[in-house]
Parts: sequence; structure tokens; C-alpha cells
Amino acid sequence: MTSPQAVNQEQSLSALVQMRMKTDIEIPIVRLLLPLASYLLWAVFAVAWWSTGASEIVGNGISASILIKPTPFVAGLGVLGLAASAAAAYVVFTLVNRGNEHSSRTRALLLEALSALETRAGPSSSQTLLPLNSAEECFYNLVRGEREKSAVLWALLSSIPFVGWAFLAVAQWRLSRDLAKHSRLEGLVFEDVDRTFRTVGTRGMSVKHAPMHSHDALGVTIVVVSIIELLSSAVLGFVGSLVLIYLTVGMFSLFWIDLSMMDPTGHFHYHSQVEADMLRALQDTAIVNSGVA
Amino acid sequence: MARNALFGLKRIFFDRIFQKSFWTWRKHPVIIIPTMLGSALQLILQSILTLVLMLLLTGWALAGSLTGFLTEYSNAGLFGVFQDPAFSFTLVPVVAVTVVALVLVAVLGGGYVYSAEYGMYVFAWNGDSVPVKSVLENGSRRWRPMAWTLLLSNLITWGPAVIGYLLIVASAASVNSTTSLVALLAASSVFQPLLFASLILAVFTVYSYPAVVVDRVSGLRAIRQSFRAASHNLGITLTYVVVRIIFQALLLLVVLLASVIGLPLTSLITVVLSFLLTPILHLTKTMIYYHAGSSIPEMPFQISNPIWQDMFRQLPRAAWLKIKMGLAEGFKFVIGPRNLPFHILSALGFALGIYMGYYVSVNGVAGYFLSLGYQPGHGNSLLAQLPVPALPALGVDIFLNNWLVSIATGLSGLGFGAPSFITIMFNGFILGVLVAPQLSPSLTMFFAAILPHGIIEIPSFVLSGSVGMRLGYAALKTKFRRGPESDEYLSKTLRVAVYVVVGLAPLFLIAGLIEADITPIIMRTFGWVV
Repeated sequence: MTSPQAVNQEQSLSALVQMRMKTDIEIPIVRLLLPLASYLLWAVFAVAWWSTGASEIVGNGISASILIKPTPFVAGLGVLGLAASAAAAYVVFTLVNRGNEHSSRTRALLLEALSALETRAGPSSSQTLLPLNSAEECFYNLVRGEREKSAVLWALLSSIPFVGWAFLAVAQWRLSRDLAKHSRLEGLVFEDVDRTFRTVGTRGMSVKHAPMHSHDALGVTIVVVSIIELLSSAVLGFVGSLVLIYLTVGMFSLFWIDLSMMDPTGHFHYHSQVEADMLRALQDTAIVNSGVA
Repeated sequence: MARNALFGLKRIFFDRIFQKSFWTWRKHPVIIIPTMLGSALQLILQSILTLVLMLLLTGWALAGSLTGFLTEYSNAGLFGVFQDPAFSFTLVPVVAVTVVALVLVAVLGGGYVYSAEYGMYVFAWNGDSVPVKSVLENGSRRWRPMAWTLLLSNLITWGPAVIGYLLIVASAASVNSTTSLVALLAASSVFQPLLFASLILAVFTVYSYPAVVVDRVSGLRAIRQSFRAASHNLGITLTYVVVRIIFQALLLLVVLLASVIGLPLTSLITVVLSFLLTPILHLTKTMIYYHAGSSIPEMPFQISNPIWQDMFRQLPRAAWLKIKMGLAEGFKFVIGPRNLPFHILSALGFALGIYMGYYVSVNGVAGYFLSLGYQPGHGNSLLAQLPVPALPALGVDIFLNNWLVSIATGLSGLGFGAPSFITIMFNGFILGVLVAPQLSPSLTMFFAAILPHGIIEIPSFVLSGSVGMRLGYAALKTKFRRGPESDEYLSKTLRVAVYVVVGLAPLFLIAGLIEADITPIIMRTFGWVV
């Protein structure tokens, strides 16, 4: 007979699995237009601001009144740019928040699954306890190794005019590293959970390696290119190098947003499969246990 | 082991707390009342100044020395007036008493407001319903420790910056020798590290107020607790601080850029800050501190509904529903026979203000304005500079500004009614100053400038004063006739006051739009140069 505790565990596991529809969402690629609009608008703003006399003051130190009182046209562009930045920040929020929610849900799901296995295993043989203990240790590493980044903070940092693009790149880099680490650590837990299921006589889960890449190469490229561009100020002038950095960081970041939107899709698909397997395996365990009883 | 695996790994998630703070704010809109009380406190402080100003001007006008004072003021400035024994004899004690009164009211009133605010956040976080009376209960529960903490926390945090600033002011007062110039340079170089120290301290004292309500400590202990919580959770504390700074900086940038293209958004941003961001961020801060407590478990994982969709779809509808309720409550308040004495008192305050303003105006103030370059029959030149499409935005800005003032006027009545009376009187005072024949070419022209929007705006202001005076009466009743009946009456009146001032929004909107779009046309028809 299935105990009430086991029924509760199954229900909460099932609820966590169903939450996948809300956490592991696909972000429409059309949303890439929002940061693109922000990028273009701020570029136009910079050109307009420059052409209305800002060029005269940069050489003499930034203290002129134009910074405080731009022309109405430039100010209008600035207002539009801020609106576009807010929209771009929303995209950043969605990406970082999706990563956070996926990781949080996975942790909650694995904690429930391990508790359920522990209940079902009881004072079982060492054959069952060994993989279970190993799974719990891997889970501990997963919990300790994952650090959530505030989506609100990174979205706001990304919405700062011009400087925000650097924050956006950093946010994408950290997000991709976090997701890569997450997929690696959770993979280990899944493997041990699968082994535990098999030792209690069920079919287990179809665990396969579904890694996500950290795109470190892309991050390093942005940093190196930006440093080269900064050093080229000796040739191009300070303003010229700033323009180049804006173009480089902006374009790389847009590309990276595209990667961040698409990258986790495979991983999410893998989750849909492995979580269904896990639920079924747990139900099987209950049947096996009741059969034994 | 799985459950034990989480031991020692409790974490505080900024986003979870921030999102739950938003939904707590949505579920219990009553938590914005302490923020409203905060603006009411500002008005109380302002009303101390306006009362002093009105009494001084009227007193000098009665004594026949107002013209002499204004001449002295325009020739020698405020410093010169203080050096003249004819005025310093009155001014010095008045200024001293005023400063002491301002500090006392700011600290004690701040203690009450923050006690109500942070107490309600803790209550609302886990509560299913938050009644209006909990504002008063929380306010009166911890106001003394909160006031003490407020004073100490501000002294410790901003003391270094203020000392640095005072050093600069003191050394700049007499720069006439090399030594004093060196002193000024030294003071300037000391100021920056002191300011930096204050900013660092501000990060660590950020939880002082939540500590008073969460841990029931006060003064230095609250500050110590704040330091401990901030240093143990430095990441999330810095996240909170940065989020707050960026929100405010971005809003400021929007105001600055919009003002260049003729879009006045200051009042709109003030409303967003006062009613949306401040409660949500303060609630977030309180709950970060709450969850930093060792006995509080980690916040469980929950899926939060999307905030953006709510902001643009459900929130406007919810706000409109509250305004509709406020309109109905306001109508009941106006026609309620028991409220007649308050209406009369408020109207009398306004009339008295007009009379006093008129009196000081004809006895010297009007002449002073004329000497400053005021041209009778000339309206605000800024209006003419605005592009026509920006006028509705100006109307909205005027509406929000007046609405905020009326909210503060109504709720400042909690200070035993006097601040509401003084504020209404001061509004009348300004009108009285302007109605003097030296400043208004004719009564017809004066009415052309005031009546089109004033016919809605003035009764609305008087009504907010009236509800403030009823609140003051209820506060007095609670003070001198203690008991559950008086407490209940005060809670009920506070609820009515909140609904009435919220319900005044459509009236101020209409008045604001008329003032920006129609009044200038009517003024021009009656001979004004606008």
C-alpha cells in the first residue's frame, strides 16, 4: 500500500514537473528587435548629440551646459532611447530570470525526488543506499555551486545608456557560465538518481548528456577586442576608440542575446523527457514496493 | 540526508523577495498609506514654516514695519536683516524656536511614520488582510524606538558628510588671506573622503529601521544589527542599494530629458516614486532583513506571475476602482451633516488666509513684488514657450502636483488638524496676496485667471482640508478620551480620509487640464498677456 507521505511527495513532484511550462519557456526571437532598437537609437543619439556641438567640449573637459541642457531633438531621442533601453532590459530580465527559475525548479524537483527515494528505499541494502548517497552528495554540490544572479539588477544595469552594453555582455557571459555549470552538476545528480531507480528494480530514466556551453571564447574575444580598441585610441583618438568599443560590444552582445535565447532550448527539451521518466520511475517504485509488501 | 544537505546553505534571493514585494503591494494597497503619511509629514514641516512666515508678515504689517523689513531684505539680504536690531529682536528667537520645532517634528513624526510603514510591511508580508487601522496600531507601537533610531542612524550615517560640508562653509566664509585659502583647500580635500565614508555607512545602516520592527531593538542596537545583517549579506545588500540608485537615476534622467522637450514629468515621477517604488523597495529591504534572521527558513521556490502584464492591464483597472470608491466616499463625506463643521472650518481657514494675504500684500508685499519685476497683467511666460502638444502633459503635471498636495493636506490632519488648517490658510494667503489691486489690474482679470480651474480646484482643496480637520478631531478625541470607541473612530476617519483624497483625483485632473489648456485662452480674452 502507498503511504500518505509518498502520495504527497508524488503530488508535489508532479506539480513541480508541471511548472516546467512556466519556467522553461521559449523566448520568441522577435524580441531581439528590442535591444536592437535600443542599440540603434543610442547610436543615433550619440551622433545627433555629437553634431550639435558636443564635439567642441569633449576636448576641453566635460563641463559644458550641453550635457545638462541638450537640444530638444537630442533630448527627444534620449527619451525614445530610454524607452527602448527599458524594453531591452525586459529582454535581459526574461533571460536571466528564466535561467534562475529553471535552476530553482530543478533544485526543488531534485530535492523532492531524493526525499521520495529516501522514503521508498527505507533501510534497504547497500546496493540502493550507495547510489542514493552519491546522488545526495551531488545534489549538495549542485545547491552549493549554483548562485542566482538577480535578474532585476542585471536588467537595470543593462538599461543604463551606453555603459549598459558592457553590463549586458557581462550578464550574458555569467548566465551562459551558470547554465553550463548547472547542466554539468545536475547531470551528475540525474545519473545517480537513475542508478538508484535501477537498483530498486525499475526501468530508470533515460539519462543522456545534454550540456550547455559557456561561450567563454566569445567573452574573451569581446574583452580582447575592446582592449585593443581602447589601446588604438593613440591612433584613432579617444572618441574614435569609444565608438569602436560601442560598436563591438553592442554587436557581440546582440549576437549573444540571440545565443542565450536559443541555447537552453535543447536542455529544456531534455528536461521534459527526463522529468517524465523520473515521475514514471517513482510510480514504478511504489508498485514494486507494494508488490514486495 | 537530502533535507540535511540544505543545512548551512540558506540563501536570500533578491528577485524572489522583490517580486513577492510587488505582489504584496498589489494585494494590500493599504501599505502605501504610511508613504502618504510621509508626504503629510513633509507638509507638516512646511506648514510650520508657512505659519511662521504668515504670522511674521502679518505682525509686521500690523505694526507698520513690513515695508521697512522688505526694503532691508532687498538691500542687505537675509544676513543684513538679522544684523538689524529692529528685526533681529523678533527674528532670532522665532528662527531658533522654528528650527527646534522642525527638528522635533521631523524626528518624532518620522518615528511614527516609519514605525507605521515598516510595521505594516512585516504584517502585510504574511497576512491575508491588512486593515487601515493597522497603520495607526503600528505607528503608535514602536514610534519612540523608531524616532531614536532615526536620529542616531542619520547622525552616524550623514554626520561625516555634514561635518565636511560645514568645514567648507566655515572656511569659505572668509577667504581673504593665504591661510584661509589653504584652510578652504584643506576642507575641500577632507570633504570627499568624509562624503565617501557617509556613503559607505549608508550601505551598512540601511537595515536600521527594519531592525526596529523585526527584532524590536532601538538606537545603537538597531544600527549594530543593521551592520551585522549588511556585512553577512553584503551581496544582496549591495544589490538592493544599486537597484535603488539605478531606478532613481533613470527616473531623474527621464525627467531631465523630458523637460527639455517641454514634457513636465516631475509630478508623475514623484507619484511613481511615492506610491510604487518606495513601498516596494522598502518592503524588499525589510524582507531581506527579515530573511537574514537565523531562525527564518529559506524562501521556497514559487512561480511568480509576470509583473509587466499586471502593470499595464490589471493595475490601471484596480486604481480606477479605488478612485471610484473614493468618489463615492467623498460624495458621502460632502453631504454628511456631521461633517458640516469641518467644511465650515476649512472654508474659514481659506477665507482667513485670503484676508491675511490681502492685508500683507497691500501693506508692502505687493510693492516688493513690483520692485522685483512682477508685471501686473502678465501671466506665466513659461506657458507661452511650451509647444501646444505639451499642454495636456502640463495639465497632468499640475493635476498630480495638486493631488499630492491635497493627499498631504488631508492626511497631515493626523497632527491634530492644525497642519491641514495652516495649509488651507496658506493657499488662501497666496490668493490674497495676488488679489491686491497693485498686482491684479482688475477683479475681472483676477477672476478670469483663477475661476476657470479654481471653481473645481479650490473646493477640492477645501474638501481635503475639511477631511484633514476631521482626522485632527478624531486624533484629539483619541488623545483625550482614550478608549476603543475613540480608536475605532480614528481608524474609520483615517479610512474615510484616504478614500476622499484618492477620490479627488478626477476633479484635480479636470482642473489641471483646464488650467493648462483653457485658462490661458480665457486670460488672454480678458486682457492678460500670456
